Amino acid sequence: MDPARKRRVRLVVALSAALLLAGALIYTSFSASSEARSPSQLLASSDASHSYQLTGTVVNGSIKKDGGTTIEFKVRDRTGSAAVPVKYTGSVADTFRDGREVIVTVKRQGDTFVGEKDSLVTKCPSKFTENTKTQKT
Amino acid sequence: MDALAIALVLIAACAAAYVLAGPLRSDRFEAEDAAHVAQLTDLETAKEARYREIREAEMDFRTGKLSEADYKEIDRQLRAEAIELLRKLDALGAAEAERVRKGAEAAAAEHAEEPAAREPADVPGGKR
Amino acid sequence: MADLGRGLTFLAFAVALYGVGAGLYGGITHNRQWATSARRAVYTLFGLTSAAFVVLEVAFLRSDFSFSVVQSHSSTTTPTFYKAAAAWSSQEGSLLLWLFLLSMWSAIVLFGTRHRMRDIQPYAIAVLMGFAVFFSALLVFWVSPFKTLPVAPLEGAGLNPLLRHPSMMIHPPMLYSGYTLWAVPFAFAVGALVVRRVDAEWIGATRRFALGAWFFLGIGILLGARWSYAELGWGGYWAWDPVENASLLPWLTGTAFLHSIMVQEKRGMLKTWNASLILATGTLAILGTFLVRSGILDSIHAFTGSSLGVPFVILIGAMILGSVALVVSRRDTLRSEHKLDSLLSREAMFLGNNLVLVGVAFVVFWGTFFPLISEALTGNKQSVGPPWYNTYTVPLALVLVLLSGVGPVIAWRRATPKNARRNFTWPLIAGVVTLVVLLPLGVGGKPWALGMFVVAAFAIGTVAQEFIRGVRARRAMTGEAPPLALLTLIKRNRRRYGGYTIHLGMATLFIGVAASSAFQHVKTVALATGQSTKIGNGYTIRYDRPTSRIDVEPTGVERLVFGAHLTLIKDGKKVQTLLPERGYYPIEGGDPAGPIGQYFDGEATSEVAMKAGLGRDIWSAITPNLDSTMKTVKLGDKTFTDAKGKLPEAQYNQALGTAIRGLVDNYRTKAPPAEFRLIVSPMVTWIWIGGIMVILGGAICLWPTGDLARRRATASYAARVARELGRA
Repeated sequence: MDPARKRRVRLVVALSAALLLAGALIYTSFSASSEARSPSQLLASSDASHSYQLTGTVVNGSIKKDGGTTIEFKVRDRTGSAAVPVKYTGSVADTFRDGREVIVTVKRQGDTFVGEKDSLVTKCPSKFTENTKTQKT
Repeated sequence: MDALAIALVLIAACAAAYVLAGPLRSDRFEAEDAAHVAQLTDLETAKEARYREIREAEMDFRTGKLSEADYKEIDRQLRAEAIELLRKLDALGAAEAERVRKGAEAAAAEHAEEPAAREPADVPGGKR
Repeated sequence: MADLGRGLTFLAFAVALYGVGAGLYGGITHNRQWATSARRAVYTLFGLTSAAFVVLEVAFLRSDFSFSVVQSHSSTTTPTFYKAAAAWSSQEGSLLLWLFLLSMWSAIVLFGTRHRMRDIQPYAIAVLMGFAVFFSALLVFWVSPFKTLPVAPLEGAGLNPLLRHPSMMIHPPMLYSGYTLWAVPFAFAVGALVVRRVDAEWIGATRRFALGAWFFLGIGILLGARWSYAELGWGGYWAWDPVENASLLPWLTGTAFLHSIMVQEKRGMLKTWNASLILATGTLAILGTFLVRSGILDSIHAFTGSSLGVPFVILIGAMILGSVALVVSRRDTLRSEHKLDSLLSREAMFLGNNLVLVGVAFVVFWGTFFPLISEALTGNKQSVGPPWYNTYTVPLALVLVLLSGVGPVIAWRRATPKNARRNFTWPLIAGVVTLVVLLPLGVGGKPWALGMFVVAAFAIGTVAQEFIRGVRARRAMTGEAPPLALLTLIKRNRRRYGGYTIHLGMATLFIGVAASSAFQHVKTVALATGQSTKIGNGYTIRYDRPTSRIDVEPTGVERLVFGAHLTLIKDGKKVQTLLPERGYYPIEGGDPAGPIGQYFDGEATSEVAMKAGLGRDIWSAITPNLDSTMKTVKLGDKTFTDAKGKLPEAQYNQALGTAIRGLVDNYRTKAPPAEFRLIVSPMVTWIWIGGIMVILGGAICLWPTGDLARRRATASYAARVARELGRA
């Protein structure tokens, strides 16, 4: 095979490999991802076999600890009052408290939503503050 | 508004303007032959790169990465490339010297005529 | 004072505008005077931004609360070091820091290269000043750090306690230096493409700029990971968080560039690729700056909905369009001089390295922006988590480490079997031995980790072989003693041995990452005093007793601290005491919930306690159970609020102090159970050791060599004669 043809073959092989990988990447990202939902969206419709990324604000006074490592709390829409109950086991960030914005991966179980272990992320309270990072649990 | 602040800012502005305008007020006009300078520095840099590669090839040979035959081949090739670059540099230098000589003659002719027109009246015996 | 800052920033904006104009004019008309004036504009900008930054710093250090940012990010009780660093904890202050660093690095680079690349410089200046115009415009017209409050309050809100850690305060300047430094090779690449000169001189200069940017960005990323591990309560160092990813993207493409530029230098290949890569890296650096403050992605670091999104998107769009237009229109200049001869060659390995790094960058980019992509395509905002990232980055990282072992040793153009046998025998043996040794130890259960250990052993074997052979060769030539031979070897071949050190560091780092991710033991457990729990291989942790204290600064109560005294036991013998704690900072300057409650309504931070070691880290964090304490607090709040008007102030404060102290002491006596997060992470320390090696290697590469000085003396004959003529 003359060098020019060899190079063309190499190029085709490389491009095909890249395309295959990109395809695999894109396909798995859609199937492995969890959908972000607000409480009102979750209340409207939720599939018990899917997990969702719940984003919202912790309802004031709703945090209940049972003494062990499980906590229960309610999450409401950022701008609104529709709230969903969440039962969560796993560690909790320093910044977790009433009124904080949270992201937690949940799956519906009956009337309540069970949080995936260690998936609770609490966002920082301040608005413009650059670099006020929060804790990930 | 803070008066001191305004004063300081104005001073800063004046200083900035002075600094920035400096090069523009210069009478000297230097013929900027960018293309020539670019060629020169590229050749010089390429030459330095060849030198470095020759040294590294020797290093590779001494550390056993290259066999003697391979090393001799590569060394010969790199030295030939370096010699070619030096030749180009010399040619460039010669062409440049020729150009400068012509330019200097022309500029000298200009300067010989100008003083008569430019000379300020109150400088005694000012002819060059 | 605020007026001074405002005025200086506006002046900086004006000077930057001038710089763009003067640079463009000087470049187009080949006029040296205008080019020099443009360069002076850069120096002037540096002076002005330094002065503006000093004004802001002084305001913070003096606790001048008439400045709105000082009021919202600092307080009289903030320690002085953190007062100074608080200047860049705000959106506005951090933008000023960015502009300051941009002007500083631009000034340094342009001063250092003032006699070189005369045709490219004016355009490079124009681009750099273009960035300066953008950022100074933001500071003047949108988010000014010099906004004042009509009445200066007496106290500020204080610095977020999460930031009260030295590495967290160095992290932003390092990171911003990394970002702003990528603007320099971007600018010079634009200039080089405009004047169609992408040859030897541009290559050498751009390589050094890129190395500097890569160096600082790497330090910034490493510091962020270390802070996350040692300070935050989750015990991890990387979360694939969008903002973390944003800083990694330019580092990945930058690393690729540093390798592929060597191919262009040696063989005149990959010119289009390199130009595109360096332009992309600069764009990614700006994208990273934008992402942190835009709020468009849900991230731990999300600073909700700032209005700066639109200007940044326009800037990034312009950069992308401009880059594409330049590369396409100059494709004849970017034609390769040679072609790839063989797949078994150093060029091919470098190309492979590039493909892997760009591949990882693509994965990270896709995952980071997936919420936006999926929302655009399907209407639902979906996001991917760490497992998805790991699926792709782990195999790619393995290939990368393997290539780093093969690349430096394989020959250019074409490798021969003889060459391969000479150079790969020992490293291969190292790899196989590692495999054989680790398999019976049970590592086989984690194939990816095992794979990483094996290829890392191979790569380290190559590097070790190179060092040994190099020292041997030097000694053969000069008869020096081994340590001296090693030093002179490195000194005289900085690029090569600096690079080897970096590879060694990266292999070590990946070993640490593989071991600590695959073989980690994590436990979240509630313990009562006296209780123990087992963790890891044969370790026991016993909760002996609670601890508590009040931390006081000269300016007042800094925080209330509640923690635990833990004993780490192995095989029945005490190993170490661990003292994890949680500090509760009072709300400052805001409406207190109650005289005592205010101490619990501010921020809380974890003080991690760990036993670090070369073999493993034992990491612990505590969440104290404050339920009963809070009941007392509520009671106390009521009592003290009632008593507020009825007692003289001194007595009131004294009573309050006694109450708080009593509360804190009470925690120790009542000793409720507490929740602990315990982690045993094998070989985490090797990550930091590897990181330090990478930084050391980078420093070796950056150290200037003698021949730079020689080249600066090269002056063109014509310019000299013209100068002399002008004087006559």
